[in-house]
Amino acid sequence: MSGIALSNLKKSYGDTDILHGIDLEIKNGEFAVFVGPSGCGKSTTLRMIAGLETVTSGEIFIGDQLVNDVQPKNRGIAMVFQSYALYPHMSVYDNMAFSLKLRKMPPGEVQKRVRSAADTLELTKMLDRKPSALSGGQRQRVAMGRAIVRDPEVFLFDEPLSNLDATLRTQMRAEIKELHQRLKSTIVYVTHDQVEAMTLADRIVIMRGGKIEQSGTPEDVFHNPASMFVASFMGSPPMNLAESTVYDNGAEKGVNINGTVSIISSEDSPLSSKAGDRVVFGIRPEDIVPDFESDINNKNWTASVKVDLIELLGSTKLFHFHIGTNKFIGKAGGRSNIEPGQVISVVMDMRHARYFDPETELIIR
Amino acid sequence: MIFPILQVIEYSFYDNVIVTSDSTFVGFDNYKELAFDPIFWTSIFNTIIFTVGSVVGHLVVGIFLALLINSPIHPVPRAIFRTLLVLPWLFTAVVVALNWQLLLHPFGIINYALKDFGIIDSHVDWLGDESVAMATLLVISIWRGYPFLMISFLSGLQSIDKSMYEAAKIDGAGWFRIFFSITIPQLKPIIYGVALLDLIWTFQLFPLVWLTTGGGPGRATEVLSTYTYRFAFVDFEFSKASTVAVILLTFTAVLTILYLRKGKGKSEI
Repeated sequence: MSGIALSNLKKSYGDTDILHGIDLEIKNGEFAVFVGPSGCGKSTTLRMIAGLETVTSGEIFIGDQLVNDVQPKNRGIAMVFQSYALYPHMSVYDNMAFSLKLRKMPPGEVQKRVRSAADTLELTKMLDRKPSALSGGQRQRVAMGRAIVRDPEVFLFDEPLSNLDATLRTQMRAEIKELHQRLKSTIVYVTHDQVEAMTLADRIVIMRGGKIEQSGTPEDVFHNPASMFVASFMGSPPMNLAESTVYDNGAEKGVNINGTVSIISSEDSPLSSKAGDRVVFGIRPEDIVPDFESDINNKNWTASVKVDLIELLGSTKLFHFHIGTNKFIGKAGGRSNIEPGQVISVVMDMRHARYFDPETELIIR
Repeated sequence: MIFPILQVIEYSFYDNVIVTSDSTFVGFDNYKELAFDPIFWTSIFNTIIFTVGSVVGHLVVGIFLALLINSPIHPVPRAIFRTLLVLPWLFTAVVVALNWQLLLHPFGIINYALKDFGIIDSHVDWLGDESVAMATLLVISIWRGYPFLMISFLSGLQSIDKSMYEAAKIDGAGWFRIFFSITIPQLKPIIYGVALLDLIWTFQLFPLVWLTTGGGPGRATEVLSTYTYRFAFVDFEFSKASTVAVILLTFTAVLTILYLRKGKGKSEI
């Protein structure tokens, strides 16, 4: 098993720069998920690690080996593609055995490995079938089986679940997680789905515009977003963000949103800006709850708001409201008796509030 | 359309049709006569050589050039090459035949070029020498017919999922392995389809052969289609011509049925 290190990795197509210098270390056995919007460079980075794209400048290490000019087959990697990329004219068995046969592995060993992977993935009964006779989930498993049999140092996954329906995606997600726990191999996984990223990753790497915006544990990026982009990208619905002004009357310090609602900051998440400074105030929907459901007893953190809209998600209800021109979303229990148009008192848990610089869009520490 | 075909079949069972009014029913006599005609067997043999040689040539050249113009080169030269390589298909048989006759003339440019490069010692009459006429005719036929296959293969190549090639690369397959284990199996349905179609077309090809060698020298390039024409419009033996035409039709019909069956099978998958 090996870790991966990327050092000032850049990629350009002609005059267009795709990656602007990526520095990242993925530890041995770590499950790293690259997440970001379309065109952020996450797939390009993955393909560069795989050796399917050339490196414009910078270095890629897999283990201790500099692999910039190493052929894909010699990098000790296996890749699962978004389209699965199964060989349609070969049986499931041959799809999985192809790379082993190319390595001139003895037939007995090939059979042993394929059977073992098929057992793990519950594909034993399908070994003679062609991919066209399989369902989407089964094809996905074959693609994973093809990777497993190679016993690679590093697994690379390029949006492997994006062609599956929601139920199957949840199921396969769990299977991939289980696979990682069993194999303990290094995995680099690319997705645009932040739920996938949160559930699978040991470490999330959030990318934007060819740069790493933040890299850290799922808890870290969720609770301590480094920028407004991360705050709004991770979480569904995303963190509420509102331009506001810092006030300080000597005894209390807080933010004034839109000149209408003032909320005092918490010592657990102190506000370092000076009075009069403009900041972007951020708070997650789950930290805004109706007063009657909250066990927080702090009148300084409450506001009276008019509910615009309710979205029932089953176990929870999202309620939308405005403070001035700023739109907010809060979370109530699924059985809460709130209606659109109703005026309710909400509690904002300021212990989890975050403040961002409106110019740099970065968090204010 | 059916009527002329039926009439030709009818003629093949009569003697002295068209040229005289008192034609007589002779049953299978025309067929029997043909069976003992050595030129008929020569023309069958030549037709097979010509057809198989042309089709194999078209397949090999077509796939090779399709791979070339599908490779990631600059779009401008690629567009130019594509256009140039399709050109042979756009000329009529007359133009192709005349062109090649001029090029291959004993005092033509090809002879001079080959002699200058030291490949041949003296000028060769490419279309007039029995030992090389069929090979020469095959070269012309391959040159004229490959573009259709090339274009078919090109569209096939472009529809192959690129990630399959990438997966094969990671699996450790080299160029040849990828070609034989991915590209060819992926193109198989197209290869079958166009090869059969090409067999049907080439089997009954007439103008190119007639206008370049006329079936000669001697009977060196006599194929069933030129043999039919010679019977009909040189010897005015329309009964014999009809008989050969019926035999040609039978062969072509078998190939067509194969082609249609293949198509039907495919649509059922």
